[in-house]
Amino acid sequence: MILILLFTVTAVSAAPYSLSSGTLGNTSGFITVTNPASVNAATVENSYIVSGYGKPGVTVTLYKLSGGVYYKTGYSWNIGASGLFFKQIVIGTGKNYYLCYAESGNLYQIARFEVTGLNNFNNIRVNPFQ
Amino acid sequence: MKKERIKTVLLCLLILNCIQLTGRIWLDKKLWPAGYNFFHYAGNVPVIGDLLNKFSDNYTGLEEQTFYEAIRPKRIIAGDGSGRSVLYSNDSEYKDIIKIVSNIIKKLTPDISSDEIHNEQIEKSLLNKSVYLDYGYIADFNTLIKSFEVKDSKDFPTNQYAKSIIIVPENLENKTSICFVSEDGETAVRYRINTGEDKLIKQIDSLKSKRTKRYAFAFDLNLNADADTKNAVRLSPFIVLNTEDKEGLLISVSNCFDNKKTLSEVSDKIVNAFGYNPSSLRKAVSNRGTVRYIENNATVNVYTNGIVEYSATSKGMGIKISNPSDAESVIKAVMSVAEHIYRTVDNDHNANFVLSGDAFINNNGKYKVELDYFINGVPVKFGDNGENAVVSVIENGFIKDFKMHIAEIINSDNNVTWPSVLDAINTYADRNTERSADGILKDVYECYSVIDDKVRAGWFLNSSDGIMQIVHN
Repeated sequence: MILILLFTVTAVSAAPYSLSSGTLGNTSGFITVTNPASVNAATVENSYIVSGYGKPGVTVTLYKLSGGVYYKTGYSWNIGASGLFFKQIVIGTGKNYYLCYAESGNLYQIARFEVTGLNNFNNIRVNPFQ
Repeated sequence: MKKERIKTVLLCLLILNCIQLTGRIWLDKKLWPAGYNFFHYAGNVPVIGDLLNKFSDNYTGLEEQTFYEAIRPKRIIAGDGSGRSVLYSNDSEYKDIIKIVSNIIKKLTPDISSDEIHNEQIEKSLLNKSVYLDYGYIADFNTLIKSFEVKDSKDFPTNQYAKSIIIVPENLENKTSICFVSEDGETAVRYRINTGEDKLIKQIDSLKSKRTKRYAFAFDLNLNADADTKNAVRLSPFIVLNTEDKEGLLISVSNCFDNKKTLSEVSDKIVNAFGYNPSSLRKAVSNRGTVRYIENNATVNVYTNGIVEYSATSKGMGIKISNPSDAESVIKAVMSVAEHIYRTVDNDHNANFVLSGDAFINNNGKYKVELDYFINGVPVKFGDNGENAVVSVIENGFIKDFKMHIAEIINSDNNVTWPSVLDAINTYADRNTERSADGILKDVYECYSVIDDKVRAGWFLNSSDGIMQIVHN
């Protein structure tokens, strides 16, 4: 009975409640974040779409930095057979530091990015074809 | 005496003629290979056809407005790189934007210089406030422009095709760009007209402030086919992705032929739509209730499940189209037959067709015209592979083949939530594990799925390697 319970716990590994700011993954190749395209992004909206592709079956949990520690947010998704993911998240004004925790079994990959909320810059326009 | 001799000679000649004609008929040799339905074929001669149409119920009742609405964009995507709104034809804002864009398009003429731009520039233009008109079908520029009720011919080259139009106000230079985008989104022909468009920018801003759902193009999220997506499903850059599920009214679809007696009576009226007098055709009813009409050069089948099929069996025969080199004439001819059939069966509702399909391209005189029923801004698809309501093949100026699903479609009192687009793409990937690595999903849009009279909210997916599927909840 105890062995069965232990097996159940190790087979279904839940993302931890919090992660230290220096957390590193123990694998790679689970996910690639395509939006934002680089580590830093900015938006005038109060929400942002995080997207990317990854290995089907991987579970991705989003963490947000607060007080030097990354805490689990309510955003979590499984990557389906298409290998694609995109999720709309609410962001606040100013810098928002995020971490994607992509796990499968005992292996997990970390991907960090930052989105700055610019609520006062709604009217920037550039020549569209240059 | 002389008179009597002449009469005798004439009589002998007539009798001999009868004997030889009888002999030819008995030997199964056709006297008129084209067939004996002389009034039908006389109808193919323009002046006679027009005259005969005035005295038959086959006179086209297709209204211009019906045609314009059938070729309008399926969806309008308005916004910029930070977020987009999607408008369907039943949204009031859709009509507002169509009105504003009409005034812009009417200023466009073929003598305005144009240039060709490529995918990076196209995507860059959409990062600014812009409107993307998603037609859902490919056509030449003149046909797309006609969707704005432009009556005068514009005479753009008919060998250039596009699947969408992008309008970009460039207020800084007091210009507006109009880009006709190719099917694969790789190239566009761009015209720039000398006028700023504040109205369009104001409308886009207004949509942004009211937006409750956020949409993005695949390229906005770097999920388009150019990206290194490894084994992930590859998306065309202008696939629209939404992060929140669409809600709407469920529809009910019912078979118009509620019993075999009705079918037999209605079938006679249906063949009128093809220009035939049913009494001049050979008619047979199978055990299953299928009504079949046979003419020397064509057959018409009317099935109990509401499908009508017409097929011209001889080369150079069929339903004649008055101006087969003009896309508008061809579309109208097919719509006219379809509307006529629909009205015959259901007099209370319009069919409400929209142009659909992969290509309307002149391929050595052969066209394919596909129409969908359209309700609540969403097309209706039949079967697992998403068949159109009407599929017609035109060859050498004649409608050669015509297939139609006749169904009464109305809104029900129930609401429905569409499955998420990501779930639909995942299901597509799950079903097609052996898909080509080069295949790109080029169409992903909401539809009503009708399979065996059951209606569900679903997605239509169409890939470049020929996979067409419906995914529903």
